[in-house]
Amino acid sequence: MKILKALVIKEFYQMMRDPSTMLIAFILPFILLCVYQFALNLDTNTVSVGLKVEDNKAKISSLISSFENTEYIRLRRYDNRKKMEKDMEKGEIRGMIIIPNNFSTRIMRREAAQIQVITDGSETNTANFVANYASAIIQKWLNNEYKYWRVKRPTVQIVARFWYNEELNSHWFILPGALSVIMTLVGILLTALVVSREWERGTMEALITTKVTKTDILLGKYIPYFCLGMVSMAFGVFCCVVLFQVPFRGSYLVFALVSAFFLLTLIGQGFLISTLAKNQFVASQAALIAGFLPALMLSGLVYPISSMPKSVQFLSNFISAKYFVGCSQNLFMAGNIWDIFIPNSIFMIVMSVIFYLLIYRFTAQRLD
Amino acid sequence: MWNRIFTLIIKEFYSIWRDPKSRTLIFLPPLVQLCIFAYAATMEVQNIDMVILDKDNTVESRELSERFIHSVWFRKIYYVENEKQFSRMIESQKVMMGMEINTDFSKNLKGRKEAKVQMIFDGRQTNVSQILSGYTSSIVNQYEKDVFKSGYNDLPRVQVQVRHWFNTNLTYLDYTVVSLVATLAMVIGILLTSLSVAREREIGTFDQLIVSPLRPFEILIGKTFPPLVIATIISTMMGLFAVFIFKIPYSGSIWLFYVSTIVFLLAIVGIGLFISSICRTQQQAILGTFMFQMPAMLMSGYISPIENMPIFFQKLTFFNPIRFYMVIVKGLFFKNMPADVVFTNLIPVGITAVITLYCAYWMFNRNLD
Repeated sequence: MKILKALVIKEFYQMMRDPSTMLIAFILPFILLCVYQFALNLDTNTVSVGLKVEDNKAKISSLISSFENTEYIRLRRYDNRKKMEKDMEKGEIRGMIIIPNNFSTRIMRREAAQIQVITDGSETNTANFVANYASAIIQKWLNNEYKYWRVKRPTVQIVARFWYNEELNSHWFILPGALSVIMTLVGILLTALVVSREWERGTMEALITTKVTKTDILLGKYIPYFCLGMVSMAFGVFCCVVLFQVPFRGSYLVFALVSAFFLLTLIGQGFLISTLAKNQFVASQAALIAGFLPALMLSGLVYPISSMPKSVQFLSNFISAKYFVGCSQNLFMAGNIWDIFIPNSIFMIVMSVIFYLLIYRFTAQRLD
Repeated sequence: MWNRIFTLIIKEFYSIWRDPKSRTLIFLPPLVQLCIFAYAATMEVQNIDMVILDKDNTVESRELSERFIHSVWFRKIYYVENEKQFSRMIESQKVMMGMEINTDFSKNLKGRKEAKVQMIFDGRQTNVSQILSGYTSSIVNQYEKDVFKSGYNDLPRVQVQVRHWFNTNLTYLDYTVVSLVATLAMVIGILLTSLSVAREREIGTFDQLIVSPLRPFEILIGKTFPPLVIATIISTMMGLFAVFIFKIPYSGSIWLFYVSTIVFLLAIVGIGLFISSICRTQQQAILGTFMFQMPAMLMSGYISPIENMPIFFQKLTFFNPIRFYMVIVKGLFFKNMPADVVFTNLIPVGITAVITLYCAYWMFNRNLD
């Protein structure tokens, strides 16, 4: 016990001495959360669209102004089609709307009038938005303009409700998930670096030759980085709730528990990587590849897991961030939903135990 | 002089190549990640599970439910008896959306009144809900039209003809693969350089390098060249993967691809070397590069478009080489981007390369005295 205490204290000293620890535990999370909050914007998509009107009848001025007055479209008028095409090639506009010269005539004759919408498919997501916005605006204009033409007919009205996030604020969804990515930094990367540095410098070997038991060595690393991670997590939650005004509807105690399980899997993963690599370069890259990138891509943070192919979905089961993101998003937006927390926690606990056992097995007590 | 640089370059190659673990780490992951993430990073929503509470249970309401079952986007439809089960399904995220049809649905339809259907989306998955609500309206609109064909013929109609240029079928996979080729090129470029100076400094060999006859300028070339070559090779491999395995047609010029890739990698290597040269330990160097890499990835225009960011962040992306390289790579793959557009996008990248490489050089120089 005394040995463990000494090891933990030594580790804390080392942590405090290196400014990069503070950088990774507090400054980097803060910067990243700011980027997620201010630079990532998944809900209001304003797209630049070019408009060329070949029909010069006064009738359609209201259509043009409905394109001008929507918050979704930044409209640019063109007279020259070639110029418009060139601008789309350059990426200055993401779509083109062309109203042909027989448009109003055909409308008056009650024939199907045509409008061409051409999008920049190389920005696949935006292309979808352009097409949908344009169709919706045209439909709305048509309904307004020709109200008196509408015969009385039954309609099916959709009453849409978005539970847990009525206004569909995407930051409420991104920030709680982003905490998982940030935690991989302290959990996997920092742990991997610290342990592999000890192997690289030979201090780990020196430690092994002493009376210190393996459990002491392991716990001597687990405890300090676990504490640092929890403090860093608390700081992250503070930023989300106080600075960025994300609601927190669950219990903080449950959140602390779930974070603890998550952190244990991360530290385990980082420790295991460095035990196997014993080299800071390899360890940091493995941490990036096995920890950070999967947490960003396969955890359901941005991209929905259920839409992925079966094989990738299967793979995501081994990413502990997936379980944490599920819990975190629920705790922030929905509250305490045990149907989700309990299975997810069990997965994380099992994972962390497996990692601990593997580290125990691979930390050689003798030198080779 | 060239002889000295050449020796240094050989040594640098050797130090990357020597360790089998780092060798594997450099070549394998980019290609594996390209294949996995290409399928993962999709904004398309598929395999939707849904719950239906049909209180009306008439021919009309069942017909509406059928529409969802037969849609390609949906996978499983659960029917429940009461509201409690309904909300529990949504709460526990068993389903992504729910539809509730009231008892007066068919009565209102027949009476030519407004028939309401309640759609519940899970706001916890903001993006998905947004897309789902789009799918839902199109399904319901189609249902409305089919059921009341007669009411529509005498109305003025506008046909919106949508064409998608450059990626005709809007294949999401093509878009992600090409974006990933650019992103992973950055990851690998940073990976190769971030440690090169810091590691030597930690071990002490950097001092030896400085007291050797090598000039700072020569050290800079020696440190820049090997990562540049390796990263270019990996970029080529990823590009070939995109064309031959993912079957994405490459429409632009090969030369423009290489010119811009090399300028881009120079900027990345410059950033890596600069960070590495100001750090005392490897740990600091790794964390320093993360400090650059993560915001750079998020602000590359891949996850969310640059045009929607606040002006301050938009200005900041001027120093983000990946933002411009992403435009170029997408342009070359999909649009056959002409040389003048490529070069306008390449200028800021070139500026970043010059500045960061000069800063790294200055750091090496400073170490001499």
